[in-house]
Amino acid sequence: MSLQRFVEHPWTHWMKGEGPDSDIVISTRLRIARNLRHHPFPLLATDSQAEEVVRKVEEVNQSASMKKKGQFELLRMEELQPLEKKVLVEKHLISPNLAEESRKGAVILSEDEAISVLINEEDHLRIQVFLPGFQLKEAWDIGSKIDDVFEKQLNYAFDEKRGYLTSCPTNVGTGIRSSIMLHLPALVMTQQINRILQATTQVGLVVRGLYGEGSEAVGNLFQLSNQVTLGMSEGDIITNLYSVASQIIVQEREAREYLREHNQISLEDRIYRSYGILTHARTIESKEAAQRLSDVRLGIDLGYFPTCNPFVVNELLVSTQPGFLQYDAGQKLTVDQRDERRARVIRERLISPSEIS
Amino acid sequence: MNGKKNFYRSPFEEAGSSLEDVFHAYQDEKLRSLYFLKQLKTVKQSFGIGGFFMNCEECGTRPATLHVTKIINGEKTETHFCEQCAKDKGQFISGLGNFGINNLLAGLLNFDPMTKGVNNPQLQQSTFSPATRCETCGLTYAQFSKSGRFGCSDCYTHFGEKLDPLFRRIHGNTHHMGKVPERTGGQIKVKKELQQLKMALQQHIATEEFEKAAEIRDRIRALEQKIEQSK
Ligand SMILES: [Zn+2]
Ligand SMILES: [Zn+2]
Repeated sequence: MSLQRFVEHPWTHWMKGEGPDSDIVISTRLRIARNLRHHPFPLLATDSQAEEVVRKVEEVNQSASMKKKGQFELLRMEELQPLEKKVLVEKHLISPNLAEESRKGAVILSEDEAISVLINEEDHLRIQVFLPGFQLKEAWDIGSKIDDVFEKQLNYAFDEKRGYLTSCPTNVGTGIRSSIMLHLPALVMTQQINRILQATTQVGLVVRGLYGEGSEAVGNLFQLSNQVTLGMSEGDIITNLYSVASQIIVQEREAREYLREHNQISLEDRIYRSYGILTHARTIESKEAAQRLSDVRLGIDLGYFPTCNPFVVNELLVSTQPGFLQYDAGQKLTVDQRDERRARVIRERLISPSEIS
Repeated sequence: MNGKKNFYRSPFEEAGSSLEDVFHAYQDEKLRSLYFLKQLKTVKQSFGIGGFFMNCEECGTRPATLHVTKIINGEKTETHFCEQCAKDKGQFISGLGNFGINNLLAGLLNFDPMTKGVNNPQLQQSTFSPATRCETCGLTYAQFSKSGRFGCSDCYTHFGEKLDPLFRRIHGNTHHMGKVPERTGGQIKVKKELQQLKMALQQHIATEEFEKAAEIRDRIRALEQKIEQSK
């Protein structure tokens, strides 16, 4: 196992395109924030204090009980090239914060990239689990077991009243943020999305866009997550998110059925038009690419492209991002060069081998 | 259909209510603490709410895409702006400047009932001096209210119960209800169970279910013995 493996392939565990409800829920992510007692939080720590935390965590990483959980590798941010960090961010394995702003930042990655442990980000430890499809409980079970391994060997900052103590008061208590990435094209097309997003904020959840450059959100991808971490058990937090997401999934399926029944021609036209453009365009901006990939993804889910795997679209979401395009090219690219390269990558991936031969 | 902007638009979307507009209200996680939730309503109830289209309070013409709920001293106010007006006001969209969660938390701390001597400096002095300091890392409460971040885990102890109003605002709660560490939390686990049992005991006595009460009383005794022995 080496760094190369993590940055060379856009493929990563969460985009497998399988798992429960994977026609709508692309992936599930769970993050557990933990800190060590008697160590200042990373924002206040000196370099040597931060280094001490990395050393302690690396000790656990080398321990027998961690080895039982699989193969893990520790990467230090200061030893990575800027483009390598960008790729890890685009694959969602590390946060932009860890990549750019941490001191003595590091990450422990599992071989299949389903588990990543961020060290010295805002908190000493952020255990992340990333699974394909709708698997909230499974993600918590996996994350909680990794948490137990660390807890056995490190003295956590835990308080009877406040729970797990975190740098930011918005994370205290359970320290968990569970989120799912939803593909909701039909709710957007039928203009129900405003109402639904509004309702989710009223039940303690937060929705945000994905892969937007700057403030833009593209590709009909929405990330739904809990915001309350104190005063609710992990089980309740997850159940709450689960039940809201289940409602949204039902509504998205109904909207898809509605479109199929009442707007069949416009729907098919939109999907096949996007497929046509993606398979023939010679240059394409990231925003348009994400929108049209969303259309094709919907087409795949509705059974219009029986030879096309949803995995391909998930993978393209990452492999068409600026960092990955440039890493793949082995050099920095201008915007125009990126658009050209993006069009080529999509063309090559969408036209399946069977159609070429 | 001219110009790049309109190049791609869903046949089902009307002008002004595109996905991008909606997103400005939600995209930034830093805005999350603007949405305070006193209570979790049932999912069904919320989804029963009708359409949510309203016009901007400022210009009255464009649809409002940014909905902000603030709870200040128990008073709930809601404001609704379109993206343009919100930008003009420069008030909410954090991408425009360095307005972030720190400012929001700072706002919360200033409106804290504990420090609400905004109009009454004396009250502020006597209840919670900004000079309150974490003895371990040296962070003062004033610094904390500016940065919105604690310096070390002992800050929680040194600022103590005075943090309750802040947590109540952010989470609607002040007490942890979740996981307890396996190795270091042994005693806490037993204590928590004991607390729950004592509450149940009171309930059974109140409803005159004495057989159940006796059963729980025995379990309480067993746990108390366990705590004694481990001391
Ligand atoms: Zn307006
Ligand atoms: Zn401190």
